[in-house]
Amino acid sequence: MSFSPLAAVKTESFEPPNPQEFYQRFFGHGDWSFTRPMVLFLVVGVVVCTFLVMTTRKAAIVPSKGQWLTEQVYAPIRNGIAQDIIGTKEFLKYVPLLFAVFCTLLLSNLMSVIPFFQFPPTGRVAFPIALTLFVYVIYQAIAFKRKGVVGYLKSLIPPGLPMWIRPMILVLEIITYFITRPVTLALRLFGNMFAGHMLLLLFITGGEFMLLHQDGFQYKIFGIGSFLMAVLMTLFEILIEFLQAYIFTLLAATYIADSIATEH
Amino acid sequence: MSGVRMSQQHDDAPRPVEPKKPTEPSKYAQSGGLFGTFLASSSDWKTERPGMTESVGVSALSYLLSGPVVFALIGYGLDRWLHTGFLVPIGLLAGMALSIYLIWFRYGAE
Amino acid sequence: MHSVAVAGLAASSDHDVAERAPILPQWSELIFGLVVFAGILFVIWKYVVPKLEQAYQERTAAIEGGMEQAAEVQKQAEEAKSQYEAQLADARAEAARIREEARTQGTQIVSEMRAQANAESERIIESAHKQTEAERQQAQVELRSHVGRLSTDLAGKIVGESLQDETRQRGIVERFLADLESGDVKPEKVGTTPSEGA
Repeated sequence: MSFSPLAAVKTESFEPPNPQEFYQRFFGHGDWSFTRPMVLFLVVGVVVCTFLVMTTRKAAIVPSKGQWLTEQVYAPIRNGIAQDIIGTKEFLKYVPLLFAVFCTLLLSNLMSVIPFFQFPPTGRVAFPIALTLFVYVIYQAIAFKRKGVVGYLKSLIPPGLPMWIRPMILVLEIITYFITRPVTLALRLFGNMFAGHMLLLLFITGGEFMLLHQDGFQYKIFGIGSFLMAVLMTLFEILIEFLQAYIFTLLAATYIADSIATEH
Repeated sequence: MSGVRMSQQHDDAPRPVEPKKPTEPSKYAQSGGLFGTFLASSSDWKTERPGMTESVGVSALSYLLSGPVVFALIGYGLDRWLHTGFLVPIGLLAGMALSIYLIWFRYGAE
Repeated sequence: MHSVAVAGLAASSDHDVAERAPILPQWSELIFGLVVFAGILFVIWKYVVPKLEQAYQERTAAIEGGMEQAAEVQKQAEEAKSQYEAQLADARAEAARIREEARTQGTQIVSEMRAQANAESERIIESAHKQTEAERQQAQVELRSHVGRLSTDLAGKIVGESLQDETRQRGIVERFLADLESGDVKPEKVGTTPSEGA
């Protein structure tokens, strides 16, 4: 038997995972269908709320195990992100938003590797967009309220630029602040989750295909290798999922801080 | 929008007393937390403004994205209007140059 | 591609949505996501963060209170220590004083005893002297009377002259003895001058 994969292909051929598979409806049709990611996101919401309320209902000086765990997540968000970036004066107002964003995203991302769920709602672009909308509306509203329309636009141009270049920079800044920032905020998260999940699917379905639907010893080896790779990628994914939740929260705090800052 | 009301209403909520010395890292933060090692460097990121290397990088990337795209689009519009064909690449290049200049001006000067 | 661009509120088929570019949202998911996240945000803003902040605040207060308490306890401990040290110093001084007293008392006693002993010994010596003197005088007196009588007896026998007459006898003897005592009477040998006798 030759080593060429083509020689060993059976009648059925391997179909790599495609984006269409991310649309998994339960009932309803098209744009108004009720989908699996929605169920998962609802689970995320219920779990996050239940866990946080349960562990903090009797918040004490000496924390219980649950409260301790919650505080281990809360403290870095409160102090490491909100206080450090927004500043000690006003950060407390925005801690709920940032904490909610982080908890929701973390669990949504981790849904990718939690058995039985194994699908990240954040791999559907609607959910990153939903969270981004909250952040976007809040940071734009703060900026307009604090600086006024003219003040906001003025604050976008860094002082000391030559006069002739300012209009072009203003266009660039407006596009960046109003379009690029929210779009990249949402798409960065979505892209990471989407691609990560695709990669896992590819290694798992590919491994399964080679192991079960292919003849030839080398395919068994490749299949096992593919599964091992999937395990490795899963570990890597967990890291990415933490990181993306963190980055999203960090950037949200940065945008809010930018809106609060009086001088630019 | 509900989000905006949220931030305003929170003013009325009982506000906890802020730590007395904001310059010192709070005791709370020193506990490290679950991601202690992961987040340990967060206090080191405080550069000139409380904008950190990460967000600077992301902002730079945002400018690099918006510059070429915006000015290429402007070029495309002008091309359609003036029935020319060379303004898209010029816009693209100009946008890229402008982005790089702005990034250098904002973040590179220091 | 056209259906992707106009993906809007119009109800689209399952196929349209599945084939839509992944970066374009499905409306039901977007709205559902907004609603669920609003719920999460509300719960965290209303119930979770206030509790955590309260615990944090209480903890800060407790830590500061604990520090104050610790300072108080330390102050008390220091007070107790200084008190104890003062007491110890007092006790030491007392002990020293007692020792000193004992020493002075001891020397006093010794000197007293010595003086007493001295006095006693002197008294004893004195009385011994006195007794000796008395005995000597008695002996002298006795001797005198004996010598007198013996001398008179002897002289009477020699001279043959009775000197029994008491008054005469006494007077002679007494005179003789007195002379003897004063040194006027020198033992004389026949044939020699009294000045050469020494």
